[in-house]
Parts: sequence; C-alpha cells; structure tokens
Amino acid sequence: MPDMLEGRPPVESAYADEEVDNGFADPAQTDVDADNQEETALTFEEQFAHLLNVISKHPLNSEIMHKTLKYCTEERLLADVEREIASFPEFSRATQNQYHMVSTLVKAGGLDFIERDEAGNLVTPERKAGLTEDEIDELVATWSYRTTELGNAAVADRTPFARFAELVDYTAERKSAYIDVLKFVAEAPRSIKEVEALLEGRPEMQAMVYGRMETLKASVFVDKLGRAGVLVWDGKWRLTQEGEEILAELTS
Amino acid sequence: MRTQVRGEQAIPRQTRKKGNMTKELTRRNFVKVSALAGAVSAIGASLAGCMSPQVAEEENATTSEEASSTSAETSSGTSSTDGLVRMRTSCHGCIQMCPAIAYLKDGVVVRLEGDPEAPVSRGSLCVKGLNQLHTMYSPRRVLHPLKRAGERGENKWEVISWDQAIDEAAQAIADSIEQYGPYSFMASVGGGGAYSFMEAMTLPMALGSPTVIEPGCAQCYLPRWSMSKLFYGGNDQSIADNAVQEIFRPKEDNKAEVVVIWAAQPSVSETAESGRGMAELRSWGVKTIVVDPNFSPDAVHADVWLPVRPGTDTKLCLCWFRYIFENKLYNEPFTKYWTNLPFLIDPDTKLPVKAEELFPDFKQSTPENTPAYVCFDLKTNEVAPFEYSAPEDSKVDPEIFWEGEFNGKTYKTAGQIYKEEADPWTLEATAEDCWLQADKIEEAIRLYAHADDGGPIEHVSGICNGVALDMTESASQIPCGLMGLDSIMGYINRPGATMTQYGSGGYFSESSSDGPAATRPYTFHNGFGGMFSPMYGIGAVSGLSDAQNEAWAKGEETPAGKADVSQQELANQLLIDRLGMKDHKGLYAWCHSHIPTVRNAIATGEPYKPRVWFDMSGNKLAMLGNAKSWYEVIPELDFIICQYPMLTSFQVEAADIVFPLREWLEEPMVNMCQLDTQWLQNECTHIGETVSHSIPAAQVLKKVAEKLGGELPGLKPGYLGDDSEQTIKDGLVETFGAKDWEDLSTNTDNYVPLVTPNYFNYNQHEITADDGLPVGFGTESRKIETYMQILLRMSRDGFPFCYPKPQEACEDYSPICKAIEPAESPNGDEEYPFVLTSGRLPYFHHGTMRHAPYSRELFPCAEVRINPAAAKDLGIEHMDWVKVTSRRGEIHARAYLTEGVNPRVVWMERFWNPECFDESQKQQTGGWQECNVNVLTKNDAPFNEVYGSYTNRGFTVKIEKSTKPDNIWVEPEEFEPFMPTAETKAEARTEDVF
Repeated sequence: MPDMLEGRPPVESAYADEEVDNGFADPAQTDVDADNQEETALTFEEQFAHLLNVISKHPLNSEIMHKTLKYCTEERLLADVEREIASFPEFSRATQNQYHMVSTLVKAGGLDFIERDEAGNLVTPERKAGLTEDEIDELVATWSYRTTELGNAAVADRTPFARFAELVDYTAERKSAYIDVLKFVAEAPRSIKEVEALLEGRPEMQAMVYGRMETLKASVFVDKLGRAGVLVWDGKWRLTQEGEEILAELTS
Repeated sequence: MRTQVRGEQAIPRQTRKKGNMTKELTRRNFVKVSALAGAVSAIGASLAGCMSPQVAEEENATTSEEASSTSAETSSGTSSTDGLVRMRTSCHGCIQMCPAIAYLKDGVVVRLEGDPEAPVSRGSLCVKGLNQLHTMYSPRRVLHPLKRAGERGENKWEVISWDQAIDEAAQAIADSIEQYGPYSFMASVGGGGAYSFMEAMTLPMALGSPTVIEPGCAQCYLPRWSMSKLFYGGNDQSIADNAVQEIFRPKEDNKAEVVVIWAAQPSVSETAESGRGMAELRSWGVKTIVVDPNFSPDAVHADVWLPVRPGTDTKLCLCWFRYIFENKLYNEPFTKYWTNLPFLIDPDTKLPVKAEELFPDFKQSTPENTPAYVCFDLKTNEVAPFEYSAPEDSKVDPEIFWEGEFNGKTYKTAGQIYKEEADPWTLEATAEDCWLQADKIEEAIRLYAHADDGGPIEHVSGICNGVALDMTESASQIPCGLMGLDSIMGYINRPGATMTQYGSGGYFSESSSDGPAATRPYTFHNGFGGMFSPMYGIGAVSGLSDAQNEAWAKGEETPAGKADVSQQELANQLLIDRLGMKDHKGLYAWCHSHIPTVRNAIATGEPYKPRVWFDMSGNKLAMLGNAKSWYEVIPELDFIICQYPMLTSFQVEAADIVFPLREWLEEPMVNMCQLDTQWLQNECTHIGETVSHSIPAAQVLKKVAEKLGGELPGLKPGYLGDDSEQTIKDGLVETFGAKDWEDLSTNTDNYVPLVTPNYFNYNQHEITADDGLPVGFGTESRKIETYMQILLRMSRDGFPFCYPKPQEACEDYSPICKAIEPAESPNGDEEYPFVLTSGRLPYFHHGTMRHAPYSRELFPCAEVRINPAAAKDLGIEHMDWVKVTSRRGEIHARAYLTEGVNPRVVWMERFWNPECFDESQKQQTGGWQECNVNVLTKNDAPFNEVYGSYTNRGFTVKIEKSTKPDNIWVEPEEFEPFMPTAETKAEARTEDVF
C-alpha cells in the first residue's frame, strides 16, 4: 500500500507560538500519479527513514522493535528472539506476535534473516536452487536474525540517551520536571495518579499549544519519557536500565 | 478484498469463489430473483405517482395490506408479492428513515418498497433504501469479529470470537487508562443517519474522558441545531434533519405559500421524504426560492434560483436584511414585541441593558426570571423600561431602530446595530460580490417578504436550510441571520412557517394536578434535549434567573425542576478540559471536541494525547476534512477499535479490531418521525454474528470495569446504550405498547404508525402562562433573541454550557450575522482560480453505499461539475479525467460539463473507492486518496468562532486534464465482485449474539 509517510519526518510536536498555521499546509503528497510511478532504488538515507517509519508505525510495538534491533546486533536464534521479546515489559500490550514483528523488521531492512544447516553453514539461495520445499526444510536446521547495517544505524541513532537529549533540547523549559519524574519513579514504581500528584500545579505544566496557553496533563510527561525509552510501563511506571543510567548521569 | 486469517492459517473467504459466483449468479440473473433492478428503474415513476393527488388519496384510503400490495405491483413493475412474507420496517439509508416494507422469501429479503401509509414519503423509497439489498447481502459484509492480522493498511484479518474481541478491546482501554489516565480514550461516530450519536457521546463520559468527534457535528447540523436553541429555544430550519415538518403537512392542512431552500437540496439528499414533499408543494403552487451554487433539481424547479458564490451566504443574508429594513417589509408588530431588536445595547458590554441598570428605582412587575429591558419609547419619545408583556398590554411603543444618548452615554438598539451591519450590502454590491444578479436577489426578497401580495402579516413564508451552511467559517453567523430573517418577518409558530415548534414544545408542565398548565418555557442546553443538565447538574438553564441558576447548580428546587448534582464536579471538569473548548464553546451543545484540536493533540501529545480510539461508525478517512492530516497521525494511536457492517478505508488503514454490525434490515429501533408519526425499524432478518450498534461498546465497558476492579472511572450513568438485543426490543415493545417483541415485529400493523397527539400547535408563545404573562420563548428575555446576546456570554465564560465552573474567555462571538469572506478567497488567487463546493448525490448518503454495485453503476466514480466555458479554456471535454488540486492535496475525477455552475465554481460529491482494496488490484490502496474530496478540504484556521467548523466547502482549487487512477472502476461489469452472491444470500439466519 502506498505510504505517504515514506521519506517524511515522523509527525512531531508543534509547540508554542505557531499561531494559526497548524502545519497542515504541507506540500500535497496525495497525487496517485506519483504513487503509480515505478519504484527507484532508495538511498541509504531513504531506507533509514523508511525503517524508522516502519518502527514507529504502531506505537505499542515501536519500543519492542527498537529493543529487538539492539538485541540482534549479534546473531540470535528465532526461539531466543521470541523469548527475549516476550520478556520485554512492553510486550504485554503488543498488537503483533514476535514473529510478525521481526518479519516486519526484516522486510524493512533492519534485520537479516539467516538460515543455517546442521553444520552451521549458511543456506544461501544458491544452495536452495532446485530443491523442493521438503528438501529445503530438511536442509535448514536453524533460523536466526542479525541486525543489518541499516538496523545498527537505527539503534545508534535512536538510543534512549539520544532520544532523551532530543526531548530535553526540544522542550528545555520542562527539563526539571522530566528529571523530577525520573527521580520520583526511581524511588519506587509509580502509577499515573502518583505522577499527577507530583506534577500538579508546577509551572512546567503550563504550555503554549497552537497559540493557546494550556495546562498539560501528567500523561504528557510519562508519554514522552516512555517514547524516549527512559520510562517503561510494567503495571506501574518505572525506569528502564538506560533511564537509570541517564538519571545517574544527570544527578552525579 | 481482504484475506481472513484464522490463526496463522490463511483461509479462503466466500468471496474468493468469484469464479463460481459468476457462473451461478451473474449480475443479470440476480436481477430476476431480487426485484431490485425493477425498483431502481421505477424510482422516477414511483415518486411521480405519489405526487398525483388522486393516487395518493387512493393509497391512503386502502388498508395497509391492500396498499402495500398495490404499491408493490406498481412501484417495482416486476413480480407480485405472492408467497412472500411481508414485514413493515423503516429504511435507514439516510437520516430521514422513510417507512418501508420488506418482502422475504425463505428468510431472505428479496424486495423492498416504501410504505404508502407514511404521511410524507407516501410509498416512496429512494435508490439508497432500495440498494439495502446489496449492502445487506454484500460479499463485503463483515459478519464476524475481526482482528488485524497484518500491518495497518495491509487488509489482512483474522476471524476471532466475540469473547476474544471484547476482551482485547477492553484490555487495550483498561491498559491505557491505567498507564495514562482516562483522557487517553476517545470515541467517534459517523454523520447524520449513523446510529450511534448518543452512544458515542456517552461512551467517553463513562470512561471519564472528554474526547469524542464526529466528522459532521460542527460541519453538519450542530451549528444550526444549537443556534436555534440559543436563538429562541425552538426548532431549527434544517430540512434534511427532520426539524422542518410543518410545510409537509397534507394538502388540506398545508398553509405553506413560499419556501426558501437555502443551501439544501432535498430532492437529492432525502429524495423520498422531503425531496418528494417539496415536489408536491411545488405541484400545489407553493413558490420556492433556492439559494445554491449548484443547479440542483430543486433549483431547476425554483421560482427564483440564486447561485451564490460558495461561502458568501452571510453577505447575501445581510442584503436581505438591508432590503427588508429599507423598504419596511418586515412584520413591525412582531419585531417590536416578540424579538429583542428594540432593546438598547450597552456599548461597553454589548449586552442588552436591563431596566434597573438605567432606572435604579425601577421595580419590575414580572417574575424574577422575566427581566425588563430598555427601549426608546415612541409614545413618550424617551428612553424607558420595557417590561415583558402581551403586545396589547405593553406600556411602551418601542422603536426598533434608534441611536441616542442617555445619561451621557450613547446607546443603539439591537435593531440599529443590525441595520448598520447590513447597510453596505446593497443589491448591487451583493450581486457583484456574490456573483449574482441584483434583480434576481430583489425578486427573491420580495417574494419571500410578500412585498407585492399583502405582506407578512397576511401571508407566510419560511426558510429551510441545509448542511452547506455548516461547512464554512460562517457556520454560526448564517443560521443566526436566516433565523433572524424569519423572526423579523414574524414567520414563527405559524401555519406554513418552517420555524414552528411541535407537540408541547416545552410550554406545558405535566406536573400540575389540574392537568397540563402553560408555563414560561425553559431551555436546557447540554446534550440532546439538554439531557445532561439535569442528569449531571451542569449547564445553566435559559429562562431561569441568575439566582435561580445558582440554586439549580446546587441541586435545589427551581421553577425548571431540580438537577442531580452528585457528579457535577467531574462532569464540569470534563467540559473544561475538552479539546478546543476554550475557543469554540458552542461544541458543548453536543459534548463534542474540536476535531482539528483533537488531531493536533494526537500528533503532539499535548495537552493530552488520545491514544485508544473507539470509532462507532463510518469511514473517517473519507469523511474528515483534510484526510491526509488524519492518515498521518494513525501511527500515533495505540489501538483503534471499529464497528461497522463493512470494511472501509478507515478500517483497512487503521483498525486493530472490527466489530460486525447489523444492517438496517436486521436492527430493531424506532425511526425519526414523519410529521406526527413514528415507525418501527424492524428485525426482518439477521445473518452472521452481527449485533445492534449499541452493544459492542456496552459489552466492552462491562469488561473494562472488570479489568479495572469493578468500577469505571467516569460518570454514572455514563454510557447510554443497550447491552443486548433483548433490552433493545423490550424498549421498543414499551414505546409501541405491544405485548412482546413477537407481537410487535409480526403484528406491526397494529402498532405503527405511532401518532404523537397534539403535535401541531400554533402561536403558542401567545398563550397565557401560569404567571399571567404570555408563554413567550425559552430565552433569558422570553423573546426571540434575534440579537443573540447569549453568544457574548458564552464566549466570555462558557455560559450556558460550562456552568457552574466557567471556561476561559476567548474573543467575543458575534451576536448578529456578519459578513464573512471565505478563508480561501478566489479574488486574486491566480494559482487556484476555481472555488470548489460540494454536495450530495441521490445514490449515496455520506460514505455509505459505495459497495452497492447498482449505485456504483449509476454513478461509478467521482465527477467534478465544470462550466463548459471554463472547461474549454482548459482543453477539457465532457467525461475527461481531470486532476483537482487544492493547497492540501490532489484527487482525480471525471469532468461533468454543465452550465449549472458558475464558470469560476466547480462542484463535487465526496467519494471513496472500496474497489481499491479489492484483491484483484495489483497494488491495493485504502481507497481514500484517489477521488476523495476531503483530501482537498481545509481543516485549519480560520474556524467558525462558536463551533470551530472548518472549511469543507468554498475553498480554491485548480483543474488540469489528467488520467484515470489505476484502481478505479467505472464500467458496470467491473462492479461484479460487489454483487450479492448465492452464498451471501444463503447465509444462515442467526440468533442474537447478545
């Protein structure tokens, strides 16, 4: 299906003083003539943007995909990948099973799918040539995955450290609130109501949104910290390992 | 075409047997068994026949059984109904829901026709209703709960059980609430005719969320509906939404003389009911004036057609005011005593001055909820208190147009302010600006005002209007102006006038021990009929004094009754936090959020992020303005739950779970009224695991409550929707007074039509109420507030909706009609030289019927109406494919050359193409971007100030010659895959799921 987001930056926050222009007046990209044009080879940057887009296609699966790419920087058996994904706190809310998500990453160029025989040798397309499906099944002993150069680039680019730095850069006026939330959650896992109580009445909760002064809900803060890979929901909000490291760095 | 997947295993769907289907049941032999084609081809004859008084009388004189038999033979022109089971029901092809009769053979509905007993449609049924046979038995029906099996947009689905579907939907909602709080939930529903308005409005309330949207709402009917409640506490002027009934009374009771159809096309939108009714009025000699940029069938037959430049209606409306004022054509006594135009307006507050403000010693003799204002008295030539009374008892003779000083301050009357606003809009200036002819404007006004045949006291006219008015920045100003015109003409509560109030009209209290007594009317504003005001103690009541409203908000007894304030705090907070309410407070009337603000909140996460979406009807990508902007935020949503009888672009591109719904031949409910009658929408049959529209959410909520420990975090009662078919049927049994459902559904003749007694009343406002004064109207002043003072209060603190806790102030709303130039003006726009406006076609209602093959055969793809002169300049010929481009996007359509549009205007219908995700397509798409006019529409500022309406019509585009998009079907045989198959017709009749 044509993807109009392809090659475009992900939808991001539009804050403060943008007045009446809400960003909808972007150049139009709905011309089906353009969709029908023949596909041309994508540059690395375009493939990278496509991979990030695929990862962000469904927010409940997004962090799982990030972590899967990171986990597979060394080759992993399918069974191990499935077990690892199942251990992620985010997996309880995933909308796809493990196999579907890694297959999506393969299709988007973030993972290589690797088949090996009993001796551990690669089963290449050349070795499969001329074999029946049953013979291929006999030949292939293991299925595994390894993050591609493209996938590694995504891992490097989208680390929680990078995402948190980006978040703080973008809304510097909220930095102290973000840090206080991290500290608060570091003390003990917290419910959204507890975070609401922490932030109630703080000046950082006031923000210009499309030209209007609004009072932000506490969910804005946990959402953005969660999307940065710093917080994770596990029945309550708690810090990720990277979140702990970031907090330690901030408070050292 | 979708592939359904059970677990990991792909299984063929019934539709994959297309080869077999084409052998067994081709399009043409389907005709033989369905009788639909006969009905379709006979539509014109059927409608024309009903306009013949002789035929109509004969039909009405027969018994319903005899009548239906006769009608069946004449309307279909094919087979008899021998051997078929007859069931009375109601169509649900649009919002008007015409009474209909279904004929079944072996449990399959094989024939449909209009019910001849229906007082307005009188045996007619339009193509939308007749094509229910195609949607009911479409191979594209969703008959079981579906879970997405691929990525969003891949159109791969897994059939799952109802238990699993409910559990997964509930889990997504419960998780989100625990993780982010209740504001992470949002609901939505479809436009007029969709079933779930109340359910969508109250579903988020039950979960403690303020967010609900509907692509119509501020863009369809809410402004006109809500403004009428604020204007005079009465019915609005909408012809499409059943508000206007009076002009469709039977000939012997019908007093209509002149009807103005402003921005509506009943012949197309509601063909069988108000369309047919208008045709009948014309055949009786009633004069019509049509204001419409498009040469609609109603315009074709009009006495005067004013093809106004799209989006400039406010200017034309002010021109009417000016001409009527200047030539003293208004109803002077009515304007003086029943409108607030003689009131002096404080130049600082812009509000009418109360008598005690200028006359400290003044003591009003009227009750505290009937304030006295100030006027310039022609009897004494002095500024004087103006107490409410019957006109004949008035102590003053108020001047309507006056400006002068009092106590060193310059005041104007509201009438004077209106007159000055209208002053620039001479016939000539208006003609030039609105692309009209001055003499035609004058002819229309004089006809409307009865300038040449005795005037408005002896004669009557009435304005009815349509959805086009809601689809621009002027969505509040134009109904304000059009109701204002009818008010200064005194065309209110009169036989033949469109602005009448029906039944008790809120004037009669049932509580009196001596029987109903006339009382001062009160208007409750929050929700339909103001239902949320007493339910949650929110919203001030028009007609109560300030002190009485304070008592109301405390749950104390007041003349308007007593509110339950136990959940007022939460209910009030939900009002305050609703997205977009600081600026567009009129949306409170239907408790809806501002759509572009919701979109922005999803995109940015601020001030809070809706992330689990329960959509209760329709194709959001086809119906929401600037569809691309919505497509872009789908990846920001955690989980999307849909319910619909078909898969549309939105389900394909976005849904995670789809609940299957009943079609109207399956779903029991009570329909909209025709005049004073109500009808049953019957359960004629039922296939698959489909359910009535209220049930999925009710079941999901029960499960969410379980998962959250037994309680939902929202208002109680929150969700107003039944959780089982039996509950729905029990309610209908009670409504119609039947013994049980079996009795009602099979002996329907005994219970329909359900007649509302004493429905038609006139001059109610003149009746003496229990306080000795004329009943009046449900406003603060007890008069028609042509100068809509309440809008000023609303903009400043949310009154009367956001009460007792106020909303932040915004810029003042205008209390009168003001001239507005469209946001994208064609004047000087060289890049986008055409103005695009849109409207309906008789084959489709909103996004429906695109899967119906005969409708598609009749109108296979999007067309853009272009004037031949403009087309010639562009090298475009009739039926050429063209590209239509706005500043938001491009779509394609076939050029339909017609002189029925101005050379600088083009006209389109909304379109979307389900064939784009048919499995036969090489490259499937969601079908919303190829031909959908909402790719072009403008959903950013400027918005209508009161309701936040955006620009769906009257924006600028350019046209270029182009080619047909690959996936679009246009030839009749291409729609074969949409034809009902032997398999779908053989679907087993099933029991209720819940």
